[in-house]
Amino acid sequence: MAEMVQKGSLIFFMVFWAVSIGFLVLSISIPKGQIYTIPLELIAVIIAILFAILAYGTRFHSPIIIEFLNQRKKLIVLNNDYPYYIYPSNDAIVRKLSSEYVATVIIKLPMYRSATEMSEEERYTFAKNIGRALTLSDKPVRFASQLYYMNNESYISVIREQLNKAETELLSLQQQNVPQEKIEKAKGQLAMWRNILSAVSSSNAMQLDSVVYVSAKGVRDYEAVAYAQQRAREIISGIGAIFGVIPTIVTGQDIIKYIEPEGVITEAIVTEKIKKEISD
Amino acid sequence: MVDQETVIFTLFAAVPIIVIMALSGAYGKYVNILVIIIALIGLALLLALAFADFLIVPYFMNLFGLKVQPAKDFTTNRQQNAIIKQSNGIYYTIGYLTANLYSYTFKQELSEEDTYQKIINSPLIWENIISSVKVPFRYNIVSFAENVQKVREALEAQRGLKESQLTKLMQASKTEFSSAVADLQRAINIIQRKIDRISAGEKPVRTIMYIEVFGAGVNEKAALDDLEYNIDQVRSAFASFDIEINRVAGRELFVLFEFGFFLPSSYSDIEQLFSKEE
Repeated sequence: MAEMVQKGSLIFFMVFWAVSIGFLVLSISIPKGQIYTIPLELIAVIIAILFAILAYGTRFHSPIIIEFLNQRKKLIVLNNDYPYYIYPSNDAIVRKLSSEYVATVIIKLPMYRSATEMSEEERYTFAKNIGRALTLSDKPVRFASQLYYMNNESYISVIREQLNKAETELLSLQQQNVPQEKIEKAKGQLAMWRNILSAVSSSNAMQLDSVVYVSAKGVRDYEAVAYAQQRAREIISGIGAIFGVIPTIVTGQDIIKYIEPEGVITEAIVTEKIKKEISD
Repeated sequence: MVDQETVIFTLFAAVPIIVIMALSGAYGKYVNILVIIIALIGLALLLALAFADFLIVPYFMNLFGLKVQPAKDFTTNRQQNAIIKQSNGIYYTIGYLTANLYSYTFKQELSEEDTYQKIINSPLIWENIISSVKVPFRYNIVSFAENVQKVREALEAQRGLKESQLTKLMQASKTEFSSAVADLQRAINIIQRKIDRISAGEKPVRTIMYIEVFGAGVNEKAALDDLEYNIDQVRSAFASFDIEINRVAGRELFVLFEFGFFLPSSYSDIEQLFSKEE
């Protein structure tokens, strides 16, 4: 999109501007004095003004204007390709531009310490370190904090397993001749796991991830990926030195989590929301 | 304050309209009044497009029921302020909000104590926001370091200019210039503070901050309604950060959509995508 804006805007600006001047001249040169020439003059003036406005519009909107004039449909298609594809090495996304490729690598930052655990001085240092991290590269880098619904299915299955174990243990203790205290303790544990399951299942847990997106261009796709990975390694070592953590490159299907909206809100969450709305 | 490029483009585009108004006498006795009215409306629309295209373009797109497909499977809504994607029968929506934080600490004249307080409180405020928001969003900072030497030279040049203006005013030594002297001295202090921070090792940085908010639903309307609700939640949560949050619409929506996958390779590429404001 940015490419198209840069290339087309000035040429289209001049074309529309020239058409506007043409209709302006036409409106003045229409012979005066006849009643039927008045609508023609007004139409020529309106078209001249319209093209003058369109000329300015091409400054930032030339792709939309040109495609609309070409397609003349209510859905203006700027691009019929997918916005990216995952590179075969599974650690980058790539897109083909007109004469080159662009690749993005995503880096995950493992930062789990809460600000409430930090002293004033530590919070000051942490905030200053964020500022230092932003200046790691003289090329654009995107730092992001993503809050999204946690896929807690595996977590729930672990809790269910613990619940089943607690139930089995209680049943076996009740069949044996053991002190009442042990049975009460087993009952307490069972109640605890039931409460945990109920609390975790009743609401959607949220998860916060910090990631960094690094892009690079290249004449070939593998070149773009190599440059992006090189930049990613520089960012990784910089962040490692600043925060004392070991960032990693996001690979495989985890990339979808930080790129696509369905990675942020999974189908399971949407289905649950719909069920809840229906029951309400 | 608007950049020179916008002014030049606007003036150039307005030439036909201004010529029409100037030559309105050539259209006949009563027709010229109509022509002037049409030209004034055209000029107003042109100025609106130049300085508020995020209002004008979405309005006309909505009026004519136009939508845009920036990539396969993604479309905009008619108001041009959300991206919609359908996947496996579920509609997903993305909305964008601007949220600039850095400018208020660097541009405003705050005492050292106030700055220190803001810095030590910011991680706590951020955690409060995260714990209070129950909807999915992504806070983005697109950043890159500027050339320290160039920024320092530019600041020193600015300081030199202000100092020479101050010297001239003080030489005039008239009482009516006392407020101008105070303003200049304050401006010099702000510039000096920036130079001192660079000398102390801070690197100047340019940032673009924005928030992506997500919604989902079984149809387009439900997904867009979910998005609106989520945007309201995020807006009210970020109110405690004392920043202005604006909904992004129009051409900048497409730019931020692209940022979601790939970033431009240099600042000059980014500069061309946004209207410049100082």
